[in-house]
Amino acid sequence: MMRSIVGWSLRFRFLLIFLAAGLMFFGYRDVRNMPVDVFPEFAPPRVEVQTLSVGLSSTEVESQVTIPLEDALNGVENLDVMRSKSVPQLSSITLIMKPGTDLMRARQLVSERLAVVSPTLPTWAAPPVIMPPVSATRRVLMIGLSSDEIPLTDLSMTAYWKIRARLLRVPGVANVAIWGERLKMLQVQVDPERLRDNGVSLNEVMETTADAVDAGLLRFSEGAVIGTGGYLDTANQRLVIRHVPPVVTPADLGQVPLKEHPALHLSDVTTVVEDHQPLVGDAIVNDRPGLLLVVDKFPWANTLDTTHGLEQALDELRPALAGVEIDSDIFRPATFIDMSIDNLTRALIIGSLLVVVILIAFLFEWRTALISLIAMPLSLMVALLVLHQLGATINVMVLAGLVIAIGVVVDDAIIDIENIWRRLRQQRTEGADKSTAAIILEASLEVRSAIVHATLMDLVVLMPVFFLEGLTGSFFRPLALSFVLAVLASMFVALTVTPALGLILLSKAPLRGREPPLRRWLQAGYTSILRRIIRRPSAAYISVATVVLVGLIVAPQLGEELLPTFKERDFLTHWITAPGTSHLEESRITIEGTKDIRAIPGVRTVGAHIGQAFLAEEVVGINFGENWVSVDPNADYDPTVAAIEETVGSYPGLLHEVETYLKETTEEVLTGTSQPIVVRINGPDLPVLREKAAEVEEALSQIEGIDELQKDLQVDVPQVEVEVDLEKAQQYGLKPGDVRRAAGVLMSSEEVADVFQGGKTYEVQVWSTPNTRENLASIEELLIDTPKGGHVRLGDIADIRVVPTPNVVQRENQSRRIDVTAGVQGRDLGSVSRDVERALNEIEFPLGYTAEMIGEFSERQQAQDRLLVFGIGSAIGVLLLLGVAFGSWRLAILSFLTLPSALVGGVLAAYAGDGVISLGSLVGFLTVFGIAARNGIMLISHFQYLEDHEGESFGPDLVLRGARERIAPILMTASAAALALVPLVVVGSVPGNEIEHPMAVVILGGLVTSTLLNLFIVPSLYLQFGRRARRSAQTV
Amino acid sequence: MIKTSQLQQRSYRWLLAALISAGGLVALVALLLISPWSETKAVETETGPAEVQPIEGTELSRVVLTEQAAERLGIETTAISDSEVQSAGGETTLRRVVPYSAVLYDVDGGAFVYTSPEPLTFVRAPITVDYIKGDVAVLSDGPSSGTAVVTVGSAELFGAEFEFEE
Repeated sequence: MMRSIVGWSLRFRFLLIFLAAGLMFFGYRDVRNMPVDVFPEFAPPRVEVQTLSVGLSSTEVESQVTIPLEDALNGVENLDVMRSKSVPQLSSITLIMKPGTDLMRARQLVSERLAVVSPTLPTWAAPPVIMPPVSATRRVLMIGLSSDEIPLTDLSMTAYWKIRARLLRVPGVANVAIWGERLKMLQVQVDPERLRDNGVSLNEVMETTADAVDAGLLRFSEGAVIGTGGYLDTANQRLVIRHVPPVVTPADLGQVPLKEHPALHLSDVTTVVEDHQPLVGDAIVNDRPGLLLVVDKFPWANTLDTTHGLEQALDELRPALAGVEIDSDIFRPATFIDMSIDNLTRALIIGSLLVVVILIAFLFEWRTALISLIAMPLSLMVALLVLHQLGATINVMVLAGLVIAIGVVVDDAIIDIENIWRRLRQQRTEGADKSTAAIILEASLEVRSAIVHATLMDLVVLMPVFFLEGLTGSFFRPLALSFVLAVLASMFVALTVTPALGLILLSKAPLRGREPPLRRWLQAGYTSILRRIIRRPSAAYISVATVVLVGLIVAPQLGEELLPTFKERDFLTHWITAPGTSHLEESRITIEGTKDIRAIPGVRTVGAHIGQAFLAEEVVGINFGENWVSVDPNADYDPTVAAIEETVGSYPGLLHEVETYLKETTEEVLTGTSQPIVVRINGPDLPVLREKAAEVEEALSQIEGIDELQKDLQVDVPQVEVEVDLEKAQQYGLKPGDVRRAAGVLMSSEEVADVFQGGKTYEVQVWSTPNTRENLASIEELLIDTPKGGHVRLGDIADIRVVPTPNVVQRENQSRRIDVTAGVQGRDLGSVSRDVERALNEIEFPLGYTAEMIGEFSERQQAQDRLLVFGIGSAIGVLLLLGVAFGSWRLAILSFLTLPSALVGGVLAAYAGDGVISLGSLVGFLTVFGIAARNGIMLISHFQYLEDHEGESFGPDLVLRGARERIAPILMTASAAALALVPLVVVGSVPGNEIEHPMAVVILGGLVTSTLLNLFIVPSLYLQFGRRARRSAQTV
Repeated sequence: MIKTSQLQQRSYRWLLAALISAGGLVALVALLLISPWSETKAVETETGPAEVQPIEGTELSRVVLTEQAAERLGIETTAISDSEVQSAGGETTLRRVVPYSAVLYDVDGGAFVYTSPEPLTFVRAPITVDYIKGDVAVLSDGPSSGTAVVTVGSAELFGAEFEFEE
């Protein structure tokens, strides 16, 4: 079959070349427009349901909102894990679906269940909302807005109604959350004492306000039904009537007469102002309160395109926002992507140039160099085009797959053409009696079958990666896919385009003249060395054994790591004060923090958000803050990061850790938290959970290498409890409900009406004056209206006390839980994790309580176990392929046994480099294994070919001749592959290179030992063990 | 004949060379193993910005800040003083007062302040608030007048004492 493919290609060579050229031209344009992102979409599909529960504490939220919702949502089709978080006033449930679930269908099923359970929730729980679907690395841009001239309330209205609306139109944007929103509204602030002095009740104020405006919201007020204007019909015309609202400003509202005391106006008994709602969150921009817009993207959107769309939208809005400072640099992951692509492209271009140098040095013939140079990009282009058709994005894993395929692609491109060249020269020098086409056909087929076996071996070796599950699977499958595509494309090109080009370019070429000097010199030197070695094979075996021994000694010294640290320029530091801290204090200390961080040279800008925002991803209290730090691309990376960490660490009493967003999200996806080591304790009773967590924390603090150890911030905070004394209340004719309603309006405000103006909606609220609610004693002093027309102090009819309450309740799979998390510093993750497991086994947990270790380590452990099983399967596959290729099991087994020694170079290189093995370097090992196998097959099958087709008899001369003829291509491919990767190694771990760098280091080291193995050990082995019983011709 | 012995000599030399290089490799590896490279990086133990010293016999602790830490937090203190305040009944009396911004509450509603017996050293002290007038708290029990109390930054001192930092 291969004969017909090559034959066909030779016959229709011009057509083929034309097609290839067309492919390159149009392919280049297509590939340029392929979506680019950093990571593949690695998170499993998720559905998040948030329910705003005004006025409820965390345990109330848990029992009245979260648990009913969990019960209703339990058992949704394809549900994997259900996690929930209940904080004051907000319930959040995250449903993590099994990988491969259709997200839209899952959302549909969830919303159906929500529709059933929502009516049963308390009415002060706003209807549950399903959050927009977002990507795993959801934040695509953060925009800070601040202004010296425009008040924050006006800015908030513009941000919500104009800016957010425009940004939502950008393709790829899932949600825009606004922190620091201060909704402009009319507030009627009552002072209960002033009301009492005027004989006016709170209800009267509320009803008057509601009626004053068109759309009253109090259900039993008269303004609840918006009267229409109607129309006038004359004989000829219909004139529509519209009522223009007269009440717009506070002054207008203040003039409204009271319902039961028409002589008095609202402004006589209350303070009517323009103010904003009680805040559950805030944003600090430019060292003062401002607005922070956080843009999230859909799972199928790509960062670069969405970012450009957003920046374009901002440019359109800018002229209308004079006086507003717009900072869109606070967090911009697209910058990292641009830098990565730049670095990688530069490295690959330099690599290709080096490959050219090698080709010319070895072949001294520009035509063959040209053919190889055309074949290589063609293979890569075909692979990318197939990926494009499959709808994939270009990300670091796809690029890494192409990088490790370079070895194979270079090999294919060179081997064929080198053999064609050699045979052509041979025939020309000795006198040609065959046509050029026939020579090319035979030369291609000579190497082809060996190459096919070698390629199949490469594919078998990488097969286990396709069977990885979970996070590692979604990360490494794109890598394996792009590798497989590149290898298959390269094989196809070598069978078709390369022979065709060879015929076109080389048929008229002279190809006479002396052998290239480098080639001659190499062959002479190699032959003399090899001659000595094959006479004394024991030397060879000792070296192999030594090398393997060295590898076995060094390998356990290496540390282990799942993912490298990406050199992003955008950092975030948590800025968390003790739970129960006020908005004022969190704001103040955040401003202090951002000021100090901004002062560090190299830091470009800092923006911070505190607490919650409407329909946003942070389900936290107001003591929780995040500072987002953007480092200048031109600043010196390591010193700046060190300075940031030092500054941040100099604040006592705060929880602060410096991380990059990518690292935080990958760890969060893994466990729901952002640390590599997580011990999760499940159980029903909060105090017991906390006690066990303290025990675990104590045990872990003894382990060396544990850093940033902390329990979940599940603590008790003081809460004011108001319990109406029925008897005392009865004396005044008060029902507990009356008391609660009145106290609620005074302490937390109530919306009673809306004003619609200028395309925006403004709330009208009734609240109390600030000094009515300024300290703990104020609550006791609250005056409650009694039905008899008098007033009574709340403290006189209710028991007011301060009690502890948890600040957050976390649940997983319908059970309460608490986490103890830790980072790792100074030791590798693997050994620390093992110590943690040991410590856990020594702690006793009561019945109903369990502890499990999740996090990066256990994920990697599972991945490794699976890899091991499939690796063994691959190894068996490789052995079988070797047997088929050689036709001799003895040879196959021996060849198989010597292959691991080729890996030792990679081990030494990894040791000398970073000293860690990550899954990236493991993939590098797989590549080296493939290359070593490939070269071994090439060599041995050439020996067999010489014996079968050229009449050489088995013996040292056969081996010497075969080796001499193969040294040039072997060295050529090894040095070409090595040089192509050298730029990646030299440049180090810069953005874009973090995965490719360790991979390239391992491949480079492995190439050294595998080439030595092939050049010196394999010939000796063949001489000793390769004699075959029957000298029948091999089918090629 | 000469050739063979030369070849034999050469082979012998090659074998010797191979053994020596193998030995060299092993020696190199041994060196690597005991070199500083193979040691784990030492875990840095530096004093943090705050040091918490438990006070024996009580459940209280002393929080000692470095000067830089106090500056970062923007700690401000003022003294408990005796002032003329108006009570609920309307009379003006001399009472011990403290700014309300110095007052914190524990989970059971007990009030406390952070006193500063020495610069950069802070200790919790329980107080009993009689009533609150404007932005001062009138004390019926607590540290004596003249004691410095923290008015700005107490939340972080609380966090440091209860080790809310990593």
